[in-house]
Order: sequence, then C-alpha cells, then structure tokens
Amino acid sequence: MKKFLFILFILICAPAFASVAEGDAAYAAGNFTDALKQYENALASEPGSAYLYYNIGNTYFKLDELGRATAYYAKAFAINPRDADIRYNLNFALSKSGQTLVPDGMPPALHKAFFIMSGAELKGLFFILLWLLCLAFAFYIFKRKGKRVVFTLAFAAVFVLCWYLAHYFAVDGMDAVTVAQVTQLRSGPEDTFEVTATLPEGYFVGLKDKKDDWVLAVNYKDGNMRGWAKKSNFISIRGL
Amino acid sequence: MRKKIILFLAVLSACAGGFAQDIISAKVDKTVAEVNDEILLTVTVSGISADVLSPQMPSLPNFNIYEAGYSASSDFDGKVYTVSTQYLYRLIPRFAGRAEIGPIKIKYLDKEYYTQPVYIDVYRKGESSGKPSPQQTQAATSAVPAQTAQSAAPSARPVVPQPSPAKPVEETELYPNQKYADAFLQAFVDKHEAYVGEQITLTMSFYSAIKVTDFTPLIQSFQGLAKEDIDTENKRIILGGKDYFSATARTALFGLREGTAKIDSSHVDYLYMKPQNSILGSWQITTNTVQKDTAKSVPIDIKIKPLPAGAGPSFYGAVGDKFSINADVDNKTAEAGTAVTLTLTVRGVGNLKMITQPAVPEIKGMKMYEVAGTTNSAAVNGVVQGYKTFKTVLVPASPGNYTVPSIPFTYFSPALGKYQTIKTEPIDIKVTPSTSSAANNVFSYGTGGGGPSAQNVAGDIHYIKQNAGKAPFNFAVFAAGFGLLNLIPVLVVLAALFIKFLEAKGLLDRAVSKAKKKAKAAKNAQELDDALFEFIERKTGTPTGSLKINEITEMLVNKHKVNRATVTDLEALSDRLDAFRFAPQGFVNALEAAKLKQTVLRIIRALEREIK
Repeated sequence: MKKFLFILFILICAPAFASVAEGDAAYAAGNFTDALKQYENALASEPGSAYLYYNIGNTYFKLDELGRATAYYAKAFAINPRDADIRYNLNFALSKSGQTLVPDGMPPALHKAFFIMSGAELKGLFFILLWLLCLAFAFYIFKRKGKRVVFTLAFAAVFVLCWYLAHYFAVDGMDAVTVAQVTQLRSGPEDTFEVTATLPEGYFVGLKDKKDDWVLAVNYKDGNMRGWAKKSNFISIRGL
Repeated sequence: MRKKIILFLAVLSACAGGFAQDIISAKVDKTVAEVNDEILLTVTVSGISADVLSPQMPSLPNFNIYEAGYSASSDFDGKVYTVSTQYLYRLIPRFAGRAEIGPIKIKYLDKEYYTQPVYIDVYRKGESSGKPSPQQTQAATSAVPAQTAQSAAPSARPVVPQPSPAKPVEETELYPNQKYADAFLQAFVDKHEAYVGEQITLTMSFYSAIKVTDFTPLIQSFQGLAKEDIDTENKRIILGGKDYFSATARTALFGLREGTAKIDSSHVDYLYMKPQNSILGSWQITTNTVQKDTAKSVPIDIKIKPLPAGAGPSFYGAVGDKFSINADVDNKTAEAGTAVTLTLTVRGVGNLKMITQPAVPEIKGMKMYEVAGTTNSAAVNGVVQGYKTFKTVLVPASPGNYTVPSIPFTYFSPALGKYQTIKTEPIDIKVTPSTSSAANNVFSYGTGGGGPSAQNVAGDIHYIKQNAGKAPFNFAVFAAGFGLLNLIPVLVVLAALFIKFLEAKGLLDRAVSKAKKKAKAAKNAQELDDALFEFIERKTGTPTGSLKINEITEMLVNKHKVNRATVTDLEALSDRLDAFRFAPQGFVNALEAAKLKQTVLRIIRALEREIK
C-alpha cells in the first residue's frame, strides 16, 4: 500500500518537478519568458506552492512587469509570510510604485510577528484548538478532571480566533493588484462612464462589487478613491 | 423662523398621529428620457420636518444633478395639521442605458427610511421615439399624497396684479393705480434672455397686509435652470395706501441648455386671523378665527441662448467675468515614486459650480490621476463669485527634472460677447532618487508606458527558490480545509452533555433501573435486601456478600464520598431488613412492608446521587 502511494505521488508530482527544474535553468540562463512558461506549468499541478508564486514573481520582475510581479509576490506572501526572501522581494516591488509593505508608523518587528502565520494557518490552528478544547471538555464532563487544560485551550482558541479576525481585516483592501500600466477607474461599469481616477501599475486594491467583466475597486491607501474597472486590469490575490 | 414653524407643525402632526407609513417617497416626472434631457425628481418627506432632516441622495454617476428648489406645504382640516416637504432636483442623464436612482435615505429618531429605487430608460438623442411618452409616464416609488402632487402644479388663478416683470420695484409703490390683494406673492427676474451658464437673478417676494400667524417656506420649482441662493430680506412698505409686510428671497439661476427655461408658479401657504362679528343679547362680540389661504406667483419663461461657436478645447463651461487660473504644486522637490499634488484654482464671477476639470497635459515619465476638488462660491452684491479647485496627483517614476506645462483655460464673457483664454504658468519639479528600502533603484512602469527605461543602479530582488515545485505539508492549512467537519468536536461536546443529562435522570444507569425494578417487585425482606446490596455492588464495583454492614458503610464513606447521614440511614435500614427477614411468619403486616420498600427506594436514589 505504501509503495502504491509513493508511486502515485511520484506520478503526480513528476511533471511539476521537471517543469520547475527546466524553469530554474531557463531563469539562470536569463531566458525569463521560457522560465515563466515552465513555472506556470508547474503551478497547474502544485497550486499551493508559495515558492512557485515567488519564482513567477521574480520572472515577471525581470520581464519588467511590475504589477504582475507584485501580485505573485503577494500571493506567495499570503501562503508563506514567514519567508524572508518573499517578504524582501514583495517590499522591493512595492517600493517601485511608492508603496511599502509595513504601514507607516508600525514597527517592522511587530509587522513580522503579526504575519508570522498566514490566514489559512491561523484558521487551521483555530480548528485544531477547537478540536482539542471540545475533547478536553467532553472528558471533563464525564470525569470532572482537566479543568485547567480546558481553560488553557479555551484561552488559546479565543486568542487565535482574534488574531485570525485581525489578520482578515488587516488584509482587507488587498484583494488584488493592478497589472495594467494605467488602470482607469470609472464611475460605472461601462466604458461610457466618466473616468474618475487613474491608478498606476502595482497598486493594491480592494474589490467590493462585480458586474459582468467589471469590478468595483477601492484603492488600498485611500478609501475615497474608488471606481469600476475591467477585471483584466487586476490579478486577484485572495481566493487562492 | 421657518424651521420653528415647520417644527411646530411637525410636532402638531406627530401629536395627532399624523405620521404616515411612507415618511419619504420619490417620484420622477418621466421614466423615459434622452441623453441631456431634463428629469424632475421630487423627494417628498411627509409628517416630519425635512427642513431639519435633509434627505441623503445616493451616488448617481449616470446623472448631472442640480438642486431645483426646496419647498414645504401644510394642510389644516380644522383638527389636524399635516406637513410635507419637497426637495426638487433636476437630473440630466449623461449616458444611454437603464439608469437607477438608488434608495434615498432620511434618518429620523434613530431610524432610517428609504425610498424605493427608480429606474429610467435613457436613449441617445432621437432614439426615444416610439417609446412611452414622457408626459404620459410617471414613476412614483411609494404613495404620494394627492396634496403633494398638486403642490407643484402651476397656478390657474393668479392672485397677484399682473406686473411688468422687467420693471424695477419701487420702494413704496409697486404698480401705481393698482388694487393689491391682502396677501400676494410676486416674482420677477432681472433678464428674460441669457446665455447658457449666465446668471439670472430671481427675486421672489411675499407681501401681506393682514395678520399672518404662520406661513410655509416658499415652494419653488425650475425647469432647465440650476440655482444658488443669494440672500433674503424682510421689510415693511406702503402699497396702495396699505401697510404691507414683505419677505423677499433672491436666487441666482443659471441656464443649463439652449431653449426655454421655466420658473414654475411658486406658492406660499399661510394662516391668518379673520375677525367675525356676532350678536349675543345686546352685545356685539368680535372673535378671530384661523383661516388658511395660498398665495401664488405667475410662471416665468426665460429664453436661454446657446454659446457662440469657437469655444476651443480649453473651454470647460465657464461663463462669467473676471476669471483667473492659477496652478501650484505642494512640493517642487520630490522623491521618485512619491506623490506630488497639482492644484488648479479657478477664480471668477459666474457659474463656478458648472465648470468641469481642466485637462492637465500628459507629462512624460509621470503618472497622474484626478482627485476630488472643492468649490467655494457665494453671492456678493447679488452676484455669484468665488473659486473652484481641481486636484491632480502626479507620481514621477524616476529622478530628473519635470515641467508641468502651461494649462490654458477659456471662458465666455457675456458682457463682451466673446471667449477669453487665460493660462497658468509652467511649474518645474525636481525629482530625486528614492530613499526607501530599495534605494536608487528605478524601475519603469512597463514597456511603452511613457516612463523611463529600467535602471538597476544598486540592489536587486532575491534569487529564485530551488525545488519550488514541492509544497511542504502544512497540518494547519490541512486542518483549515476540513470545512464543516471541524464542527464534529462541537457535536461531541453536545453529545457528552446530553449523555450526562440522561445519566442525571437515571435513564442510562442500568444498576439504578435494575435495582429500582427489583425493589418494587420484592415480595419479602430478603428480596428487598438483595435489591439494595446488588445495587451497591454494581455502583461501587466491590462485592458486598462477604462484607459486614459497617465495612460497607466505611467503604462508601471513605472511597466513594457518600454522606454520613445517608450511611446512617443505610445502617438503620439494614437492621430493619434483618429484623423483618428473621421475624416469624405473619408478624410483618402489609403497611410496614410498603414503608420498608419506600425506604429502600429512597436510599437507592440517595446513593445513586452521592456515590462518586
């Protein structure tokens, strides 16, 4: 059975490994278009790899596509915010469009501590704690033992839940990144509507509504700057 | 004063239970229109004073919106006052398609009330033929009182002596040799012909020679005109030998498009004291009664002339005189990637609110986007003037010297009858390299975007990750993917609580139920004794057959924390059972046997609770 599972794993992962190796070689040779193709092939079979997103971000950066590079770094950061390289490259890309990863006035160490876990990890950790808490409580109901364990687990679960909610709201407004050189925000979801604002490439926006091929975008830095633009102007970060 | 009157009427209305369910409603005069047509939106607030609580309009990107008047009316049927207030808006559709006027809100006593949305089908010029006639179509979002619908109708019974509107007002005698009504409303404009965007001054006066106790604010509505309040004035004058009180409001109007603009018949509802004589015996008594009446003005037509041809691309709708334009930036030295705000300020005398954002020419290497500006205008000596600012954020991509070029601005001067063009001065901006974490790195905003080419002076991104194709297993992420399965532990807890509940009721304890059953069925003391001690054996897990009663009680107290009192009862019961067991046949009567059975059941229940 173990042998069968191992062979199955190899069969599934082999194409991804091959594509990544070819992508690495193409990247090292400076052939970024080929590298991008290979990494995207690998991503199809390994969609949860933060490092693949990171490598794709690097490739886009080398291809002078700042918006797409920023978007893929942000996707990598959403999966693995602890990785120093991912954090550095995302911040580096953001600085090109006059933005910073760490909000003004926030100590970088605090930002790092806050993002030591991803949103998905915090959610999972909460559920793990919930399992343990419920089991400990059930045990306590029958045996009247383990009160301290129940309280400790309850406190930990509430703490992690609060952290998860804070995390959720902290990334509100970072749903997508502008990838077009100029993204025109309009007052309504059609080309006939007036342009109310223009966003450069590589800006974070929150997506608040959608209609057909149009989305209502709100600028990350300035909540007053909002308008409709075509979906193709953005790469979504959430919804991984 | 007006607010006080409305508030007073509103309180009366509320006290009389006059609040309607539909506190706010909206209606339009047509639901089919063409681009640049004019639609009249009437927002009616009933039962409460909208003067205090203005309706909040939703975002209406499909329309240009102009306030077209504010009005209120009241009705008094001898018992109850009802107040309704109308806000009038002129909507000019901007685009073809189905446009929505979203819910309009009013907040009153911590509750929010909304109108239903209204939909308008907008067609391109000349495409609406064959569609329902605008005159035949009316959309109302909720029931609008008949009184409200009538309030905007033109007067069929002018009560004012017909004036020559162009004639200036005399201080003491409006129209010589005329008879004047006791109360009347008079409206006139300073010109009957004006260019689009040129100011027209409307003067509206309410005159009364009788004792008016209350009057509602003026009800005005306009077609094809934008309005801006100028001032108000109260005074006393003599007309036809009578002493009149007059309240005058002046309003600046601006024609929105070529054609005939209309000032509809305006009206004021007022209450006055009317003396009545009656005879009581030999006494003649004069009493005053409250009467209600309405004063109405005649409608006025104004010819709006088109602006002459040859406006040029730098004309943004400004009509007036003494315009000037100035450009300034908040920082003439900035870092690459940081924002510089360019502020254009247009000053002058005229239709400032109608001016649109002047175009800022493209600046190579700079991204720009428009942000909201402000208008600050007011009437001075009856003429609207002030300034309007427009802001544009500029983001330079790379270091260097940039120039914001001269920006032309054209306005039409009605006094001169021609266009005038003015310009801003060019502004130089010096952009230094960025000092952020990626110092001295400049990156283009993409190919062909007009920005400089990529320069990588120092520093670079970190290198790619090797073996990126293998995502490590992450248990927390795995657990997050369980979804609803994560509710299982909650169900486990609920199940545990349920079982505990059943146990507490004795519904799940086989030892208890068996012992109770056996005790109830016992025919003699021996069987009662067996039921009791079998129960103790099952609950404690200790065989009691070889133990004496005092050893059993010690075990219950020390090992299972049973109360001393229960144990004492158990010892007494055991003695009695022994006594009955060895008593001669016929010695134990039925009553005593029943009592003994009850005692056994009581002890079993006590032990069931106490044995830990």
